[in-house]
Amino acid sequence: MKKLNLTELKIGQTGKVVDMPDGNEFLKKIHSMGIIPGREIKKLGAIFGRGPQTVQVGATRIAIGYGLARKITVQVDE
Amino acid sequence: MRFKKVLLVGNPNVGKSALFSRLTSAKVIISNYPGSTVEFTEGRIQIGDETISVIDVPGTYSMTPDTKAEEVALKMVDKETLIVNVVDATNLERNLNLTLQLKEAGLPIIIALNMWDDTKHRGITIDTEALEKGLGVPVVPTCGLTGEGVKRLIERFEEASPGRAHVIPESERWKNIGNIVSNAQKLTHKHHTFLETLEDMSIRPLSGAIFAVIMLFLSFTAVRTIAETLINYVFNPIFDLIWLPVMKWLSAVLGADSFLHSLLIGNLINGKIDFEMSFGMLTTGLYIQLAAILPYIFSFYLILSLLEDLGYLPRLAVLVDNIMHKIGLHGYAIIPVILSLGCKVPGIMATRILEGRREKFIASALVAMAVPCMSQIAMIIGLVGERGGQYLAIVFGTLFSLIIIKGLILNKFLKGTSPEILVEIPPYRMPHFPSVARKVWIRVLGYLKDAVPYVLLGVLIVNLLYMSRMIDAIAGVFSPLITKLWGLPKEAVGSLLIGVLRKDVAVALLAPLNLTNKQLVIGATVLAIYFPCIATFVVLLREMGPKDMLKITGLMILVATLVGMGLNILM
Repeated sequence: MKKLNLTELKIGQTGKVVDMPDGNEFLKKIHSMGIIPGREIKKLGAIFGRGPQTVQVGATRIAIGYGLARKITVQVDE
Repeated sequence: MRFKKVLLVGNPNVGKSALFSRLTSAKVIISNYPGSTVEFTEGRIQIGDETISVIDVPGTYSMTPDTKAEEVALKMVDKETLIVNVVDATNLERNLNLTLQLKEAGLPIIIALNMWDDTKHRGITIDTEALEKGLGVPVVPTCGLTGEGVKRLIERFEEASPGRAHVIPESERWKNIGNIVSNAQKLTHKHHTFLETLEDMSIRPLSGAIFAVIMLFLSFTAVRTIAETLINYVFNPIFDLIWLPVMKWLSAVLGADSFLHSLLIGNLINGKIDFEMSFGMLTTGLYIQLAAILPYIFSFYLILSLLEDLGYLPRLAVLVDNIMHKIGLHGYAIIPVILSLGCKVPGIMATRILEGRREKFIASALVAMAVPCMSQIAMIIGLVGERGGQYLAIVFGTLFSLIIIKGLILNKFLKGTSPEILVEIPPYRMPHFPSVARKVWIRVLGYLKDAVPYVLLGVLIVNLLYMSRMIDAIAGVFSPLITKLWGLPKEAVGSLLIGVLRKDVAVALLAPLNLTNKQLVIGATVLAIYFPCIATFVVLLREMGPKDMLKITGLMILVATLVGMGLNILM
């Protein structure tokens, strides 16, 4: 078990969301899109140079800005 | 019927608009809700002798009003309102989050399980009875594209009933969703379809970039081809065969020297009416709006709406997000920029999709100043290109550097930071043509209502200025600027004045001045920057308010002065 943030997750790797701050508008929107603690999240891609990170949760694909992705912690099996 | 009003509510990208067209008859009105600029599409369904109004609420992920549109939508709910919750059958889990929130609010709902036809090839089987039981609301499978299930949906409206309002914590809600979905849905593995392979391609950095270049090239080619075909084979013939005889008659009746003739018909060029050069309200004023710009507006919106409904735009936004951040914008701002290459009127209107005032300001300022519109680009290529490719490179290179430099500066000095991108990447879907047609119609109508009257007014004002000789006074004031700082002949002032109406015509007016290569480059570049054309001016005013409009215009004059000077010294 290892804790990483979304930007550190490898492309194609799956993890479980364990922690994300709440409060601001963006995080509320992230929640309603289906990214919440306890859910499996798969990284599909990342644009180089601190670009958006594309992830899949359930059947939904979401692109998340780098700064925001850094605040989402996932747990992966090593 | 208990219900007098139906609200179509659902996540973005669930085919709500297609379903809306299926539900309602052809007559659709766009209305602004009192006290706000939020626009909704509203239509009517005839059920027996009753007419019920249907309102298409903009897509949302949750019930908390994030945007003005959602807030207004929530206020419309009353005792006689039925909520038709449009749910994407291929993405039950996320969609049901909104469904349960609607239920928690105690509203009467019925579910349109849309995209039903899509479930099969994605290997999804849904037991609608189990879903109905799990949710406790009527569920009807539908397909907006074919209209399947729509009749059944209407038949079951009466079964929806209000519930008790209650609040459930978010984690609890997701647990409930998990249970409901696992009871009602079975997934089997399916091979990738062609569209799905394209989907993967278009979000990876390298293949995505190649894909984007191809897509943009195809889009621009399509826009130009459609617009030019319309101009040459539809609008020009209409003006030449029908409008010209009317104008000739009017010209003869008024007499070439009369005041009204100058206003309405303008000057006769070699004794004839020239729709491009005469500058009367009814000649050039109408012609430019309807025959030269409208076809571009139409074809731009057509292609844009297709790309939008296909689901491509979010992918493009993700690809360019990085670069856009450096100039104070996020990926989505690429849309106004692309649109402005066609015409700045829809371009600046598209800054509405940006979140904050800061972003809107930066995007509008960049677009107004450094993104020439299609007709102007064509004119610059024609005139400057004749003198050699290197001169073209200077003009467009200068404009491109301006975007970067100005973006960097504005990003640094304006308070705040640009927000992070957060956007769903929807699956590619075949666009539904009736909804695309409706969207294009609504947008074109908006242009006709918002731009045309003001440009006609602009033509009137410029004509009055000419007739009252005010123009000479203005020319006198500006000629030192033009001759000393920019090194242009005094006569170029006429071109600058016309540029307020039409930038492409203004570039064309540089041709008879016998300019040197250097002067031509300076003239063409400065004309792109110095001032918004009247139509742009009006949208800037409407979208940004008088204060920001003045700031942007001031910035444009300043930058044009500096760039003209710079080129004059350096070249």
